[in-house]
Amino acid sequence: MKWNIAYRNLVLFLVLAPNIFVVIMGIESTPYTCAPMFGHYIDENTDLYLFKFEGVLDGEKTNLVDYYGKPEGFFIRHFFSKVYGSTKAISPFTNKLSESPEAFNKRMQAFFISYGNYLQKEYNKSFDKIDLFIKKVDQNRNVLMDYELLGFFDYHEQHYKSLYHKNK
Amino acid sequence: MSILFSKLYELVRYCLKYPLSLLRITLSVLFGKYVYGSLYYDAFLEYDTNYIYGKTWFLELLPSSLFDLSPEQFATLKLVLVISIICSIIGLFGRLNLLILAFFGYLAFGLVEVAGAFDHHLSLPTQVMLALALVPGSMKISLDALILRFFRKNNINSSNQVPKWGFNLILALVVITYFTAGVSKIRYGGLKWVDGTTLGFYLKERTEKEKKGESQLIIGDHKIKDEDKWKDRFGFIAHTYGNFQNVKKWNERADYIANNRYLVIALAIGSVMFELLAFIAFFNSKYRNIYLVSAILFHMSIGQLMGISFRQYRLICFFLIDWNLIIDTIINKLKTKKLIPENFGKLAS
Repeated sequence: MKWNIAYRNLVLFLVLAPNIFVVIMGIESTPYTCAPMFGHYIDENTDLYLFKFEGVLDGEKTNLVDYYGKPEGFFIRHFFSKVYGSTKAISPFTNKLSESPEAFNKRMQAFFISYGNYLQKEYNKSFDKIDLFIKKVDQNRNVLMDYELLGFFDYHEQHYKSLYHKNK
Repeated sequence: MSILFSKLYELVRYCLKYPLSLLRITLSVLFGKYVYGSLYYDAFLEYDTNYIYGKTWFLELLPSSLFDLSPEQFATLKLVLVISIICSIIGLFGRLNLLILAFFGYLAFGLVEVAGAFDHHLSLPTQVMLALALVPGSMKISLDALILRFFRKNNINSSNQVPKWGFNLILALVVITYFTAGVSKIRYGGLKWVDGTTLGFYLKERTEKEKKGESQLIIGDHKIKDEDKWKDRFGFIAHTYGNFQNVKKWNERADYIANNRYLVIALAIGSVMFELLAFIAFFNSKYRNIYLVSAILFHMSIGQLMGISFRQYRLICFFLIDWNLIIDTIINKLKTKKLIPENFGKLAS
């Protein structure tokens, strides 16, 4: 009987504890989630943006939307949630419990290096740099602010440079 | 005919004594099919190259050699998956195979998350598969139970008693899942979430019809203080989700709701209340049934209006309903109206 109770408590703990943890912390990592799918507020005044990746080689520019190698939603969500990250240190869309400029730069470097390798391998394309642009739109994708350069990854220096950081 | 009906009635009542076994059989089919379709070789190839920062906690625990498989080894892995699905359904070495199937769920959907999208369709079902492997009652209708019964002929009666904690644990997983969805809406969206504009946005969104490069939106917050921004000046906080319904008829209905201010507010309030009040499923069987039927209807409407089916969630809710209460209520009503004999249930049993 004692063993039965101990087993029951162990199973309850194993199954419930990770859920309680992600609910309290407000994070997610498969299959545990704080269910943030519609956990944000959107009205007509909400700022909405679109990312664009543009490869540059000898001054020639290539929009990389055809070279994501997967659905756009997957590529951008992965980039935003797992690599770039929310402005807030803990984002409900990922499993990070902290954020720092060092960790951000490390992730951006790893992402762009591996993405560069992928472009080379799959499409035989290499670039001097990849520019990361942002465009502000309304809910119907009407342009409110044209593309603005957010930063770029320099493949010669192997480093991501944020223009915002530079201007400060 | 009446004997056949009695036998059928008896069989149904017997099966309903073991809802977790029925859930195991049916969920293994739906879940197994989805896992099989989600586990593809390219996900393994991409794993450690493009997505090193997307690893889930579970994938971090696995040896890297698991992601360095040859096509032949991968085919063997899928064969193991198929065997575990079949054995989970029929209940042969059932608990072991449920564990293996749950492992494949953690693996396959972990890789899907690594690729870019957390598959919320399968967050609850994956955990339920794991729970089914560990709790009492999930193997009562199975080949394992038949074999055990054959070897333990003298111990039949004692083995028919199923402790309730297994059922309650799976119900708790359902309750937590809905509750946290409600909490997240208020936590990240604020109380103003119930003004219906967020719901209206998603009802009108046509994610798959947008031009290339314009489908995935990122939300910024200009109210974030400058000193809190260091990556950019926009204060990105989240990506949006999508509306994947492409059928014109349903798009028109979604637009109608979104454009009706009072209706969309009512639905927004209803959604949040429905999620935050999930714990009423523990009050008693009647409340549980009302809640779970509402959950099935909730997912059916989301499925039609937004193209997000949550089929596995609906199945889980269906088998957690207290069907005995419903059948007893119907039989008692029919007896009161003298449409069936007074001794109906007793005759059958």
